[in-house]
Amino acid sequence: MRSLPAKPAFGTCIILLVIACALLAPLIAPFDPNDQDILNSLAPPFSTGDGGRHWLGTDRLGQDILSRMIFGTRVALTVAFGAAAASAAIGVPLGLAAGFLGRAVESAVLVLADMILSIPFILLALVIMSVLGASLLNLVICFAAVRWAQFARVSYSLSLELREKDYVMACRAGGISLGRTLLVHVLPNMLGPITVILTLELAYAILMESGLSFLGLGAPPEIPSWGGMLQEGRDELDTAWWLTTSPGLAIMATAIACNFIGDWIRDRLDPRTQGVLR
Amino acid sequence: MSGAEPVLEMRDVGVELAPLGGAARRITSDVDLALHAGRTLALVGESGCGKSVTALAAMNLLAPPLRLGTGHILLRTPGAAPRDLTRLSPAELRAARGGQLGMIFQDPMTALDPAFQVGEQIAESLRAHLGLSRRAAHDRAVELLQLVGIHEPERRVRAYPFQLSGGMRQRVMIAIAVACSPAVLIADEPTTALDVTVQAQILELLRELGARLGMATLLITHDLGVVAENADTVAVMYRGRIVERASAEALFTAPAHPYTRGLLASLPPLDGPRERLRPIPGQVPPAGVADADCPFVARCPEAMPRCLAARPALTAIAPEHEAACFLHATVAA
Repeated sequence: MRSLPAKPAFGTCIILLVIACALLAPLIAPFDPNDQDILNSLAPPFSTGDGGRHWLGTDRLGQDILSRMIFGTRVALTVAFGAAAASAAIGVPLGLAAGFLGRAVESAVLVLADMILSIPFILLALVIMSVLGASLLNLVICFAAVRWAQFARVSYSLSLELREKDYVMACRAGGISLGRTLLVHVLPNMLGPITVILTLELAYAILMESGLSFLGLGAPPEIPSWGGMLQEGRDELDTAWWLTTSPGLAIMATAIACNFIGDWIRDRLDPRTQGVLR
Repeated sequence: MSGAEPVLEMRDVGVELAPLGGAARRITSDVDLALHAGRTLALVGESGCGKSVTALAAMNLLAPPLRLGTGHILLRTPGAAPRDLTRLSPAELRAARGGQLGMIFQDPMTALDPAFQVGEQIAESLRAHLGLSRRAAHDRAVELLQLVGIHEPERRVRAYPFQLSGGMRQRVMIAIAVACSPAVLIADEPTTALDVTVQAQILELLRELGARLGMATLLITHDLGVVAENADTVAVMYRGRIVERASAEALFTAPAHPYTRGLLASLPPLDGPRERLRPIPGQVPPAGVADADCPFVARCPEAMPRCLAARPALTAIAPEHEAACFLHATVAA
């Protein structure tokens, strides 16, 4: 087997590391992420506190940054995967319907998608989250309510291409029902591009979740999240750089990792770049 | 033409092109075709004359912006009353397509789903129409591959389309089309995308299957060589209308319409001195039918004043031979 090029290999390592942290969080975190130690607040990295060393320092309440980072992966992954999967689950069927069910459905879906995509995401998200209230489930709902449009547009344009394929026509000529044609012959042939969009949406959701948490509309405060940590550390930027540096780097690394993987899949699927890669 | 009633009969079929927000335009008009069991009807004409659209219409498969403007398509299957395909419900139409009507597409490279083994694609039709079990459909798929002359069918049934040559893929397409023993087989330029040597094999296979399974075959082609070897009857189409209809023998020995004559004259001679090819003068006309004059008048070497004044109707000029040309109308009158 050919070895992975550097970028996707790096991306895969980061994502695997994040997933491992999320799964094993209670085992590998040196402290309880919500354990407060006021006497030891704002301790710099590598300082020793009650019951062990704070490798990445502590925050204003004396909570261990490393442990909160490790538990923060759970929020990042839950929201990212939940948001991407929910958006795809709504958007792809709508895109297919727009492509195959005639002009009325087509116009309805596309107009709705364009409307939603023409409003800045953070604005829509602010409205939705302040109505629904801050919780992880509501975050996923918020993403799905907006980002389905991206999947709908991509799967619509793919179905425009696929519905002209002779084998889709052959299904009609062979008396295969439309539902079966879509599920068995159209959907599998659009999975490649959809996967690429999925990885890019993962990165987008991680960034946006952090952004929303930073604005106080993401994960509730008792759940450690990277965006929330950034927000808490904002006031101490001059005095305690370690509050914001670690979560900031984690957000960046995870988003970049997703993008690297997505780019790589896209290049692999695009016949025009095949020659360049080999 | 045999005395028995045709299995598939197209009556007065006219196809329209209705673009979004534009006026509908007629692409074909007054197309009458009758397909008889075990016989092959060839539909001949140049690009854009309406051949493929007629093939789609025969299965009531037209999709927007194309639609059936006029006409009926009657399907007579043994043991059932004649049915008009234009009046069937979507479910009945689905059952008829693939069940009683099989279709072979022009390009076997794109007509098979690249994501599935060919056996699964044959089995899909069997399971949808005959309700076979997975196992039974698989076994039948192997038999069908054998029937269409694929070696080692047990192995090929698991092949993906990209693992097969063009000729083999077209054989697979034929296997799918005949899987449910349809009464009618519609082949839209089945050999255009294939090598010449493979073409002959595929046509041979189609002829053999048509005779063995008693299928009525509609063979769409622009290749007169294909017509001469494979068709029982021929209909020549020009600008969306049938301009001449005859038995294959009569058409080649005594072509009546100037367009047919021009087509035959443009074939390069196989023997004799090599000379310049003789094309039909003029431009290939745009798609769409005209009613005011003879559709061929602009390119016709024998055009007369009355050809501009009226459109000749398709009339009998000999037994089993019809042409739409005033040259013959005057003789008859």
